[in-house]
Amino acid sequence: MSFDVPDDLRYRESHEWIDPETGRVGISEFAQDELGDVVFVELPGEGDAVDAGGEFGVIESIKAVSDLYAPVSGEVVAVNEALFDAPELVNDAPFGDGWMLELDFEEGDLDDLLSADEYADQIA
Amino acid sequence: MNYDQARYGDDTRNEPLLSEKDSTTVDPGAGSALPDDLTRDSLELPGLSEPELARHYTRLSQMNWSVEAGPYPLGSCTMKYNPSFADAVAADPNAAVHPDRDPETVQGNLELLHGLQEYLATIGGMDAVTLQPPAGAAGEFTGIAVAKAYHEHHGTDKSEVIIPASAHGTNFATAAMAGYDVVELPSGEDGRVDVAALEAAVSEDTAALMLTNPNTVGLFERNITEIAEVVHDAGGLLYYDGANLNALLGRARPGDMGFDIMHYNVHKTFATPHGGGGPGAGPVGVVEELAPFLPRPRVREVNAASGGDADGADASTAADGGALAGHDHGTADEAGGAAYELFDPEQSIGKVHGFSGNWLVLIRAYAYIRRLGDEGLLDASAKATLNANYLASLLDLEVPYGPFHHEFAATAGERDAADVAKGMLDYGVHPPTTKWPEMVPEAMLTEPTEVENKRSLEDLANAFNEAFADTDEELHAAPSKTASRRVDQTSAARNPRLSWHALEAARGASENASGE
Repeated sequence: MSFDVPDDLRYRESHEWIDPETGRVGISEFAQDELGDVVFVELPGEGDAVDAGGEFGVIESIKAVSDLYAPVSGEVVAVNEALFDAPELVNDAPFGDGWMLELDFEEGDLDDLLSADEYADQIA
Repeated sequence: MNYDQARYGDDTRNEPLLSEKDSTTVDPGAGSALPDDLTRDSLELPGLSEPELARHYTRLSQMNWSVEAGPYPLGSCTMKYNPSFADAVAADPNAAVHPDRDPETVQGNLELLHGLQEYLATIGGMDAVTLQPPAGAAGEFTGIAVAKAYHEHHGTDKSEVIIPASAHGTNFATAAMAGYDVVELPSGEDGRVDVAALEAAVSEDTAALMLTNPNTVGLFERNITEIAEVVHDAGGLLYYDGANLNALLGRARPGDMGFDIMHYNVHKTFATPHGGGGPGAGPVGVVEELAPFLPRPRVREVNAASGGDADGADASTAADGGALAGHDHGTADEAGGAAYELFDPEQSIGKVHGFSGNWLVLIRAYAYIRRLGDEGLLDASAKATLNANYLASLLDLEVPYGPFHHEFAATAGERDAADVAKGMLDYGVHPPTTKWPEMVPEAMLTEPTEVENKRSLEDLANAFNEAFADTDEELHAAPSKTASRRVDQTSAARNPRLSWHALEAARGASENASGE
C-alpha cells in the first residue's frame, strides 16, 4: 500500500509534516493509517510557543494515544479548532482539512527536516 | 463448547429501559406541606410490578459477562472469583457500624482493621500499613504523596519519578498528579528493567522508581536488589505497584527486595469486588522510616503506644497526648481497658478518604486472608503461575517473553489482536487484554488466575486457537453469539452518549432527520 507524500511539504521522522509556505502542521497519511480512527486531538492555544522536536499535543485513536512533535520551533498563530468536534478530519484529509497548527517560524529550521523523497523512503 | 448468549429485544435494540417499558405520571395531589416553588405538579416514573422489575435485571445480567459465567483472563486486571463467604461476612448486620462511633464501643471492628494492617504488612514485608485509600490508584497516589512528604521533611528537593515504559498507565498519572516529572525507562531486550539504563536515568532529582514485579508481561525482575541499590544510592525511594502481587503471595516479599512503599490491590490479590469507580480499597504499606507520613488515622494496639513499634507516633509524645491531638478518641486509661485505638501518625500527609477507608471492602479482604490461611495463600500464588503456564503451553500463539509467572503476553503476530479477541467471544469466554503492553506486538495479555481448573483452561485455549485460526472475514463478523454484537468503538469514542438524556436527544435527532 502506498501513501500520498506531497512534494511541497517537509517531514519529521515521527510523521508530522509542515508546509514551508503557510507554516501549517499536521500528520501524514501514513501516520493516520497506522493510528486508525482518530477520536480525539489535543492542541496548544494560539500564541503558545513550540520547540522543534518537543511535544505540542496529543492524538488519540481507538488503538493508541500518541504525542505530537513539532517539526520546527515557533509560535502558534492558528489552531484547527474543527478537529475538536470532528477528529475524523485527520483520517479523511491528513494533508488538507485535517491540519493542526499554523506556526510562525524561522525558515532555516526547515533544514533539519526530511524531504518528501526521504520521508517516502522511510515509510516504504 | 456450544455457546449462545441470551438476547432480548429485537435486532436494533436490546432489552428496553425501565422507562420505556412503562411510564406512569404520578400526581402528588394537593396538600403538600412544602412551598410551591419546591414542588412539581407531576412526575414521570417507571410503573412496573416487582416481577417485571426482577425480570429486567435478570435479563441484563444474562446479557452481561462475568467471572461467574466463565473464564475471564483479562491480563493485569486479575479477575478473580469473589467467594461468597466474604460477601456473607460483609453482609453481617453486626459489621455495619457507624464509622464515627466511639472506638471503645467498636473494639471488634478495630481489631479486625488492625489485623488486616498486620497481615498486609507481613505479606508485603512492610512495617506499617494504612487501609484508608479507596482504590488501587488512590493507593498509588497516597504512596507517592508519602514519598514526597518524606523527601520534603528531609529537606531534599526531588523532581523526578522514574517509571518503566511497560508500567501501568496509573503510575504515570500518579507521578504527574503528585507534581513530579516522569522519566520513562525503556525496557531491556529481555523485557525487564535495563540496569544500565536505570543507572543513566537516576540522579539527585530522583524521588522514586515505580516498579511492578513481576512486571506487566509476568517477568520477575531478577536484578531487583541491584535496582534497589541504584535507586537508594541516588537518594530515591523504591515504590512497588501491587498489581501483580498475586504471583508472589507467600513466596517473596517486596520489602525483602528493597521496596520502601507499596500498594495492595485487594480486589486483585484478595478477591474483593473490582471497584469500577465504586467503593474499593488500595491499602499502602511502608518501611519504618516512612510510617510517620501515612494518612490519619491508623489503628494500633493501645499498649503499642508505649512500645517501640513502627506506627510512626513517638511513644513519649503519644503518652502525653501530643500525637493524638485533635482526636476525641481516648487513651488506654480513659478507654477503660480498650485494646485498640485510632491514632494520627506524627507527620501524616492527612486524609485521603473518610475514616478508616471502605470497611465493607476491607472486611472481605480480611475474611479472604483468614479463610485461606498460610497454605491457601501459597496455593493461590502457585496455581496462578501454574495456570498461566499450562494455558500458554496449549496455545498456537507465540509468547515472546518468559519465563513468566501469573500472566503472559502472547502475540497475535500478523493478526489483529482485537479481532482475535472479538472472535474469542463466540466461544463463551472473555478475551484477554489486547494491544498492551506495547513491547509485545499485537499483544494478548492473559491472566487466567488461580480460580480456573484444568478443563476450563483447556476451553480457554480452544477459544484462543479457534479464533486465531479463523479468517479475517470471520473475525470481522464476530462476535455473532453475544447479546451485544460488534460494538462501533469509533462512534462510541467520537460521540459518547453517557446519560439517558443524551441517548434520548440522539434518538430525537435521528427521528427528526428521517422525517417521522
